[in-house]
Amino acid sequence: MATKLKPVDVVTIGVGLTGTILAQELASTGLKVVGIERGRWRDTEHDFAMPGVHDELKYVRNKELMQDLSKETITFRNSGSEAALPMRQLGSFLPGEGVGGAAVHWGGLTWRFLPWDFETKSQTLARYGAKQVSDECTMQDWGVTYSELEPHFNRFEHLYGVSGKAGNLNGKIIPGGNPFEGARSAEYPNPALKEAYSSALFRKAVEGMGYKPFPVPTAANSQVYKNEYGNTINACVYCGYCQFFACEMGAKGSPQTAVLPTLMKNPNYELRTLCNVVKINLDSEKKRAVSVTYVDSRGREFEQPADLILLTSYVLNNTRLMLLSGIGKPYDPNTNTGVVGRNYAYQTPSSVTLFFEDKNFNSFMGAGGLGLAIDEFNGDNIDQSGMGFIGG
Amino acid sequence: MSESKGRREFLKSAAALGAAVPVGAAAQTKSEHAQHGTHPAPKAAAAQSRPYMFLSQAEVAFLDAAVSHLIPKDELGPGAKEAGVTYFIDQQLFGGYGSMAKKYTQGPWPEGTPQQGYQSPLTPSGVYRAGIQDTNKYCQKTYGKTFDQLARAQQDEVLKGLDGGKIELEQVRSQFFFNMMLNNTIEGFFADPVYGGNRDKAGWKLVGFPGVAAVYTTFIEKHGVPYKAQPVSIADITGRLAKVDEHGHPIHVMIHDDKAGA
Amino acid sequence: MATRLKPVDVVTVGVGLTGTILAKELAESGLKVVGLERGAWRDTQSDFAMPYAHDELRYARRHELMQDLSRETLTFRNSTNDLALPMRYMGSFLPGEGVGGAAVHWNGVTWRFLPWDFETRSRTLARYGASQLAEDCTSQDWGVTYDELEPHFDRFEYLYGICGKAGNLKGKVQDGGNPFEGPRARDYPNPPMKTSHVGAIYAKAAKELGYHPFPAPSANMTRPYTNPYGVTLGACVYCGYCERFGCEMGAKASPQTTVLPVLMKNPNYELRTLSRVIKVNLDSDKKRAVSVTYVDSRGREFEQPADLILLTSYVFSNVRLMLLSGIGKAYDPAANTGVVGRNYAYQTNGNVTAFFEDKVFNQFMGAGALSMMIDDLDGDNFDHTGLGFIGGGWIGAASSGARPIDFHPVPQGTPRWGSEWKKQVSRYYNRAFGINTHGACQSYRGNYLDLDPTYRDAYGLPLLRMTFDFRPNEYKMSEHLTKKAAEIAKAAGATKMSVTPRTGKYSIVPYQSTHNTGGVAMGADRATSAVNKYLQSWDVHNVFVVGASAFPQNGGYNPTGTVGALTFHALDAIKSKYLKQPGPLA
Repeated sequence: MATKLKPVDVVTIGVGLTGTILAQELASTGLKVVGIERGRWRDTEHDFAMPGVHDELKYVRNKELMQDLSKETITFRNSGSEAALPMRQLGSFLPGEGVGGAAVHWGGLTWRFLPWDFETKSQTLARYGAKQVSDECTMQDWGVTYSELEPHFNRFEHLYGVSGKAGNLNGKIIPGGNPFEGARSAEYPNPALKEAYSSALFRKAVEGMGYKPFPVPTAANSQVYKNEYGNTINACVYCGYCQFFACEMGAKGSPQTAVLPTLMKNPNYELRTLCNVVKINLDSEKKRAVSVTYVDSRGREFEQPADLILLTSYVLNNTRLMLLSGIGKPYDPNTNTGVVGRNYAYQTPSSVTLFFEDKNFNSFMGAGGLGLAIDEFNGDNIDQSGMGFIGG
Repeated sequence: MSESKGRREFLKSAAALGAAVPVGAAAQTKSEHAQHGTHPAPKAAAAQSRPYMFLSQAEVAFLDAAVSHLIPKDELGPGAKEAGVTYFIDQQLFGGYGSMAKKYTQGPWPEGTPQQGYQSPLTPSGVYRAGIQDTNKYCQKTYGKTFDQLARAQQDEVLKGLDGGKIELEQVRSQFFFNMMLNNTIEGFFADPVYGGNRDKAGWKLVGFPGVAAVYTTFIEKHGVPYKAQPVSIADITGRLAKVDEHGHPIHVMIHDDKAGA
Repeated sequence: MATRLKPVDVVTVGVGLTGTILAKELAESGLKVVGLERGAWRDTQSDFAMPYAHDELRYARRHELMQDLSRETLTFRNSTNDLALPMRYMGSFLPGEGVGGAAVHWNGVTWRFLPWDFETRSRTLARYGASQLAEDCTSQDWGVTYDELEPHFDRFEYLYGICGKAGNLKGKVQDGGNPFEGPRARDYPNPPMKTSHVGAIYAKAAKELGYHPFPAPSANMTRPYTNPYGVTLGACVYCGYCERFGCEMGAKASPQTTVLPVLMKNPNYELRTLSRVIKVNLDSDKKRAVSVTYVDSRGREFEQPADLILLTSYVFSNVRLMLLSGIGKAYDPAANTGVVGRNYAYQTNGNVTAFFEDKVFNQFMGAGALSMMIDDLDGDNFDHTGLGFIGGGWIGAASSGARPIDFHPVPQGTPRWGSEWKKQVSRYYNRAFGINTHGACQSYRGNYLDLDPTYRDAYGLPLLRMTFDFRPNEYKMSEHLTKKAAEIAKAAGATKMSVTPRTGKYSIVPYQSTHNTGGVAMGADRATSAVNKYLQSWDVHNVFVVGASAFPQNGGYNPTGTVGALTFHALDAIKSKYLKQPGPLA
């Protein structure tokens, strides 16, 4: 039986990228905020120190910073005609765990979705008509536009010290940046990272083909940077141990570098680690959440009442908690009713590996997001009539 | 049920985490790296011949201090710290013992009675992390320093408080954590050196244990005659440092001294 | 969905001590036998080789040879007032796993239960009356007597090469043996073990007090020995790494060293390892078993039909499979109905640690069953009038190897750690030994096994739940025995001693003994037993449940010898009667 605790104003379920920002802001307005994190505390000085942190076997192969699947995993199947089986090892994707979540081990690439992305359905229908997409496709507009989000993109980039080169400043196309990006009101807070040899070759090749390469915007800070909360993010040293790893320099934008130093000093904020939220409890009418139930590191159950409950975990956890708590109607693909669980999507990556006889790339140097990109084939940036697909 | 007295206060300030992040001139060379600014330089650790795979430097410092009280160095010989018990614990926590391999981990985990044994969602690696963190937090609150920075007498006081439950921790029960530490310390002191502890066979030498067993068919009937042999470990045999018989048993080199008994 | 396989004659569920003997004999008589073992193949040369075999951390502390609890464990509570919780680590007992089972890592002490043990209830009532038995005590007669089992004890002892000195040859008491044992037709196949320093001191003191010390009957060979199956065992070298370890010398009797070499050569026998039986399937009448279902190492389910199904696993697995398969009525302690799960018992151990100043013991030398025993306080070997308990146990001083992680005795009052602890450990490691009191454990209505309502194994099946605690009879007995042990320690010249009889609630945490008994009790009365004297299920005649699961209560001895005798007794009935005319044998 759960022990009921004194009520607080806000609970965040998960203390990662989203949970820390919301907690910082709300605690600063005077609200009592509790952050509940299933994993443990992690910080740069104690947990991401050299030399141990640069261990490919430990972090890439054995996924040290990631979810403990023995406690929780998902089951997977390709279609409804199969039996779903547990994902017993991490493979296709790598959910995080612990304070900071996956934003500790991410690669740092930080884009703004295109204006088209937010209005995919209406713009597709307008330009190509319904036949451009399959019957089954449940794409839709987001209910918010790029312009509405622009100031918030700007704020997030400035919080995490994103390094990049603006391509569209207030409608003016700036050479060297992404000419396709939505108009931004300000330049990136940090200049783009340096250019590696392989990038230079890429640039030469694509420019020769008429494309417009630009540095990938990344949360690896290119210089020492102090953000609006007064937290300092250090400069990247191109060590080549970024994605899958935590940054010993404190140079990767993450909750640890961007938010936690100030958040943890706020007396309105309380962090509870090794606590796993198992349910959000609703009132009898099921129109208001009254509390969350969680199991702590000693196996004890607690009920934390709160006025505002923010699900700030990873995609999979947020969804699961909604389903376990009965918030919203679960999606039934057969009857096509319900919404929770619907519209799950992923990423469709592919690659080309280039081999050379006469060049030496020092590929062991690098940073997450270090590289150039072209955006000609993204979104609806080119005419896709007759191609039989949308998106890029 | 009313809110428990033990409603926990967690990490409220960065100060609870241990050594403060040094501000200012960390990178001291006049190279291009000077622009990296204040990067958190870990406290200069003594050179370590064996890298720790699981424990952070702060955790190593904690355990080195703790185990040095559990089995101290004295005139009888090296103690747990010198015998490498912290490294032993590191290796155990990094491996199957730490993640509770071949043990039943399914929940739920009500605390149960003392007769029902280990009931915790934490595996031993989690118990150590939480126990060290909470104990350091207690020390910060009580003494203004982390455990490893305390005077010997204060460290002794803290350990005695954990053993017996006078000091209550938050994320893990103090007696539970202490017992695990004590058990692993004894293991690390006496286990075969292949596991990283019992360095130079300090534990075996303390009690006169010959190590990997030999043939004692004749000696067992020599009642009252102390059998004192140079202890032999697994590595001594695989590394061919010890002579063995046709079954792989060591042929002991006896120790001749005039000390009676062990 | 299970793939149905071609039928065979016999299936043994578990390939340990009992399963290998039965398989060998039945395969030899021409039957097609399949042995299903949840664990892996293990053998002396490949798995118990020096130097790795002698690693205290790995085998004695991390329990490498034992059950993988992540796949299956049990839940435990002291009484129905508690919530049963999983045994997450090994503690009080150490079930085995893999070919050979616990008989690979046992210590080898091999007794014959006393004649009195088999008739505990009737003899107690006759000698002392009903008031000597607790009201909730369900101890009962076994339905078979010592005399009926004598030739089968003999057979088992000669198969396993037991080393000892007879104490009663055909009714005539022999010097140097156990004067209290049941009469035996012939001596042990091998001479007794050597006497250690500790054994000699203990024997002298015990004799002075009027007891009759003798060397424990041991399955650690005192000389190379070839058994009736033609399998040869090596001689023990007293290395002191016996219990919890595999024997690199092949000197410890086990399925590997006594049976498997010939069994594996028989084309009628097929061993399937990493195959976990999850159910015995019955016909629609539930009077006959038709097959077993098992899950293999690739997660595939198979159904193996067989005419004869022998449950030859450890106690817990036998009981659980009966419950999961619905063979026999499950015991309900509140209603006092049903039999499967009933009469679960254990061992009631106490200890005296004796410290000396002027003697050195080299206790790192030893063998699992190297022990000097007295049996004067076992069974009903002494008059219990007015003592308020029944039963007793052996009291012995063992030299089974003093490995320092687990053996580092310190006098009472020594702090648990620190300088003083270190000093005392250094001083007394080689100057102390233990005297153990190995007491019986009666059965009670409230001690039983059933299926847990909450926790499941890795296969999704309910775990076995144990509800157990000692009773006043056991505490009184232990106090009595331990007091006597302390007297012996004093007579031996101990300068200090720690006296620890069994007290307090039963805890699953500290190791005590892997002598769990009962749950599928044997007996003459169907109302209070699950199997008959031949270990045949009363309800499903082609299922035999072989092991200490058959004990209606536990005596003062280690159980293995008696398990061996019951196995041969059942085998005899199967070969001479059942196979000729399948049906209930009693």
